[in-house]
Amino acid sequence: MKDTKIISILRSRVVTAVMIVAAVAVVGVRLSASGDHRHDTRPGTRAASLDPLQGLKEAWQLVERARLVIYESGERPAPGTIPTFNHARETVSRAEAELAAGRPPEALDLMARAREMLKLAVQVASSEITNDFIEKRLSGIDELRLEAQNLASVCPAPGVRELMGRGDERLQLARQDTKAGRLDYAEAEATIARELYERVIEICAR
Amino acid sequence: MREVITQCAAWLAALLLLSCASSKPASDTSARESDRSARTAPAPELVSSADARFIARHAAILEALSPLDSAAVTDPRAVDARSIMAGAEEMYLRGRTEIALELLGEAEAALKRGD
Repeated sequence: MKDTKIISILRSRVVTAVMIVAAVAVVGVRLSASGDHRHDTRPGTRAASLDPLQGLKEAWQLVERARLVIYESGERPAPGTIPTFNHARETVSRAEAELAAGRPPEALDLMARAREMLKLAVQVASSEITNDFIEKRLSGIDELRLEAQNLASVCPAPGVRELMGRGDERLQLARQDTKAGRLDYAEAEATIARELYERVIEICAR
Repeated sequence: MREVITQCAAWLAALLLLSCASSKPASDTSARESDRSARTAPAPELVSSADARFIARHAAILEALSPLDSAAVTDPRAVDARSIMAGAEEMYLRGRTEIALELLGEAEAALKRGD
């Protein structure tokens, strides 16, 4: 009788233990699976592969754009802007030297640092995008447009009229975005319009 | 009696564990929540991912523009694309990477126009 009771207790304990072990195992497997999934889909963990030579060209292009944005207003840039910009430019030169010496990882690292410096320089130097700022820019672009229009009317180069048309479209979009309060977009459209008119002037002056 | 209670408690614990395991992982719902809030405050990984996308696409467009730039006759597509790129670059430098990416898409479309 006593033996039967002991066996019954032992059996129930074994069943309980098996159940708990099974449940813990299921939970463990699920948790590890969800961990793998998260690891696979997390954005930004894998760096985009960039050809170092393309990266260098891209970095120099951003140096030039930053220079234009910083000096565009014609006013003296905020203190600290010029040293930061110069440091960024020197960093891209160092990246170029590293690349020439056959050290692409170091070059890419320097390019990444230079980009951050350029962003900092532009954000410190450039004015806040307000309605007044955009209006002032647009009136300056209107003058540029007139000059481009005069040249385009007597310019035989192919595609110039098409480019004038594109410039006008962008200028109109800039005005619409300003009215709608989309000031960042207005600023971008104004830059595109200005670039188009400047290219027309450049092409027709050749 | 004690034996029955112990066994019931064990079964209950096992069932609770199994139900927890079979329910949807919490990360699914929190991911949806974070998607919604991403519009106002992008996570650092997303910011760096947008940055990496801008750099890769910007470099690729510059590469595609190279042969058009060196052509003797100015290609209006290249001028158009370059002008859009100027807007994209400015937005990128001002920290408006999402707008910059939209403009890169327009520059890509400008290059494909007439192909």
